[in-house]
Amino acid sequence: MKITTITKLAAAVTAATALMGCLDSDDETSAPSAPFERSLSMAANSNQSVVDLTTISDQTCFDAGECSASGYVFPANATLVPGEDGDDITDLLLATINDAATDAVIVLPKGTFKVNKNVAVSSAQNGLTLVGYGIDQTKLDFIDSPADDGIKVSGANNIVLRDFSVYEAAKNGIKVDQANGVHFNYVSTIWENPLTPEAEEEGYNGIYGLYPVGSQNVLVENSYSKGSSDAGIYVGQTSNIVVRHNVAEHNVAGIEIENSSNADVYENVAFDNTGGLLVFDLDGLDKAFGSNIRIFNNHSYANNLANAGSGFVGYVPKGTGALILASDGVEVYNNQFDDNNGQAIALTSYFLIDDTMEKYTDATVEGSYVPTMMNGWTPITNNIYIHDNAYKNNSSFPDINPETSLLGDVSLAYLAGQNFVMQPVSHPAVVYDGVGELIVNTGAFAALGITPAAYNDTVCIENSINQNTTAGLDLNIAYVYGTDPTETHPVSGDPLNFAADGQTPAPTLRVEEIGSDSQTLMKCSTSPIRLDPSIVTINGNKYGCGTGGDDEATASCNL
Amino acid sequence: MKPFNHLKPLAWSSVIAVSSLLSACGGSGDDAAAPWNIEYKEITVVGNNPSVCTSASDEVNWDALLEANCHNLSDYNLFLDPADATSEPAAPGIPYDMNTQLFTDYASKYRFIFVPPNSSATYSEHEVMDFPVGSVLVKTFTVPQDTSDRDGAEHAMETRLLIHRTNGWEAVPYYWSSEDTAQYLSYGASIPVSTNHKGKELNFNYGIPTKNECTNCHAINPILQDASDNRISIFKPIGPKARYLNWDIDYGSGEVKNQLVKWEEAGILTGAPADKSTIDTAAIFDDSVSIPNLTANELDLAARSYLDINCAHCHRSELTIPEANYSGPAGDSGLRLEFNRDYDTDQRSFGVCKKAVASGADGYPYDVIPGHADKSFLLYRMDIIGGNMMPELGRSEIHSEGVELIKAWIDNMPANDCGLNL
Repeated sequence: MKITTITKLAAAVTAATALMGCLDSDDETSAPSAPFERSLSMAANSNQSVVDLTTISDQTCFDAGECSASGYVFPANATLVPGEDGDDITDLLLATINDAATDAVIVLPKGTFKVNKNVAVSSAQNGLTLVGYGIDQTKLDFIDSPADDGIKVSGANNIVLRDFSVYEAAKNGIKVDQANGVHFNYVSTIWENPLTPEAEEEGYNGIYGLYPVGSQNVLVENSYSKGSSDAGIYVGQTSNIVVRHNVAEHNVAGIEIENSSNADVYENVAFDNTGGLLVFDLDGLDKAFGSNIRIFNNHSYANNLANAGSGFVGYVPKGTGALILASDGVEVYNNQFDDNNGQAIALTSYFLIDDTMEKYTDATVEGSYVPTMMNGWTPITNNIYIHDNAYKNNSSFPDINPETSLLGDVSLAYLAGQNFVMQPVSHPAVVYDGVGELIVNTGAFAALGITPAAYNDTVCIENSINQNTTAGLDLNIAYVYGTDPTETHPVSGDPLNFAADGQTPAPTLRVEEIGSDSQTLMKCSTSPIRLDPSIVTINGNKYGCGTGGDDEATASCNL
Repeated sequence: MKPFNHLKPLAWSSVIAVSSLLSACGGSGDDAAAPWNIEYKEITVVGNNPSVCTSASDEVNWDALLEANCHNLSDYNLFLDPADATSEPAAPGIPYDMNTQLFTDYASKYRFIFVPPNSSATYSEHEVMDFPVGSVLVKTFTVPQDTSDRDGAEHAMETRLLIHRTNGWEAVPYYWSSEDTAQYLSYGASIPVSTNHKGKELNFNYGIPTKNECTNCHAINPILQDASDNRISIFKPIGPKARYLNWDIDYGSGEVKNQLVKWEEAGILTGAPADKSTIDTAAIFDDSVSIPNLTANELDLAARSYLDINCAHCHRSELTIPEANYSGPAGDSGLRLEFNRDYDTDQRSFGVCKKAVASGADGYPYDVIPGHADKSFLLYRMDIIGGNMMPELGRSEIHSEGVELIKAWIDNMPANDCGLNL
């Protein structure tokens, strides 16, 4: 193993005028930085799932400095960045990375270190492995870095980031953009300041934590994110994804998959976020829409944090276990949802974000969605299969403020007993807006090839497991809007799902108790076809549930 | 089309900083200017200087440029005075200037193009000229003592070389670690400086980017097509495009000439239209332009030029990139601001009534809300420092004139509140 050998950099402060012969006696020396501590906190809750990310797998090897806590053995040709606990290693780290060739292995030192500048990695370091001594053994503190991401990788392939933590980045924690082959393993991104709207005004918390985007073959495992004002663990505009064994705590969005295809998200723990597990399709992106996303065997609990985010993530209602927005082709199964005070699962169309109908039908209005719809994006959530999930004591205190919650109006209406049967009910644990399906059924999008056949009977719920223990709390499932445009009121005969103008959708709030799967509201006529498993290939290794993947035979992959 | 028909002063013929400083220090001059100091950071370049970097000749060291990141800028013999990379390029170097520039904390920039003898660049209508292997683009950044007097006292901060090597373009950055020496610095630095801008003293840390950070702006990235698509990014120059060069500058000795014509005469450019007035040209925009006095067309052209050079190197999509399936690093944000994108048919790409995909801020619901610059997220990000600012590197100060320009552009659009009932 070689050690980077640039001389410790003496910050000689010299006045230009001194060179010219007029000495400035005001030589400044930088003030010694205050001692700092960075700690990694882990899941601790009455419902906790224990995900241990900090165990030292081989103490002897670790003590000898030959491998990381998780057992990665540093290769002989690795370059070691020197550093003593507490050092500022900015220059040494950046010199090592910027002059590294392809396929380099760079080892970060053990301890807590200041890094005061964005760490950029380019295609010149294709195949880079950046490794520390462990997720709680090597901590890079970006608190004094004035702007930008902590680490940013762009346009390089087969990048491995493992066994270290990034603290207090000004913008995103670790961003990886347009890379084929990204492996996060035992990595964390942390902002320690409590995430509140007030703190966010001051910019104390960064945006995304682990942030691969526009990529292929992304594996995020055994990693942790806390304090992100957007998504803690995010994968966007990417195909072939495995996100497993991670912990997302105290972010606005815990784990989010956006405009992505072929993603398996399993054995993760999300808690104390605003929303635990999110699947979004947003409009206007190069990768216009996602598909084939499986969310299974996760534990999403107590995601009741007030929303401190802005932009799209600012719409997430607090108390949401999982939120699926404008997405097509998502299977959610065998998950455990506990103590999410809003709803365990929300399925919503884009119309709850923007209900200006002409934007979806008229290409000439400003801000029209028609161009992006012609690329295949739709505002509708469809082809959703939710089954074998367990629900315990969710939906007790939904967010009823329409200013802060996408579902505020809906939740208030349910609690006010204004549902279809005019009776007070427990707030639904699973809520589907239905309005997208209703609008499709009017034929509004026929010109774009969006016809009712592909959208009816495609949101399906089966085999729900009721674990409620709270007295009087029913496990309910709900449609906010009826989906049949021709439906009429049983007494008056007026159109039931539209206001008097005959055009504005009117909510009817249908609700039904799931009980032991007796519900019919979202039981499809036939069970949908299961989605295919995903596979991630990095440096020739295959990961995940797909054929040849390292988890192919595990219980989770065979649920 | 050239709406602002004036000439820029000949910056590179300015008196160099050294002599100006002499009169500014010690209080012996007739104006009692405050001492104007700079901190030099001592750096060490790893390893031995490659042997090709030592040349007995005083001609441009083309071999070294092609092969090696020499320890000192002077090893390449690009300038007659090795202590001054702001003027007097060695033959065949030619100075050039941009009509609208990327903002870098009010730094002055001195640009030079070196094309190897007996070769030439091929004209491109929208993209950077197709420069032959061996070409070098040189940009020296200085901090002026007073931005209103860019020919006056200044400190050289860094000189960046973009070299077209056999395997593609490479950034080779140099830091002026003393008055007379620029050393190779791959890992960046942050240097406290001050400058006076329109009567206000600005004190900030001048950021010298790392070698890799250069690619943040200079790369186009593959839009990966499938799991086996292993393409990587391509490094490209940004500035020397026809639209930024198609105007007259003063070459000294009374030679005032269109830069494309100058390049043709020097034999380093072929294929440009004979009639330069047919070339779509960016505005001449600098900090002295009076924005309220611009006509609607001038304002639009200036804003589009500014957004192009400051944003579109990242915020561009495959639509405007010749290589198939590449985008700018921020092409996936959905915000695309290229000069050659048609605004009228693609307003959403310019952020009109478009929500930001990644991040947001309370009170700024869309990137651009026509007539409501004060609620437009695009302008918000130009008007902050740190954290979520845009551009994301290269500045520690707000470009007030740029903010004013884009504010005026948004406020002068036909009002449309994007359905927000503003």
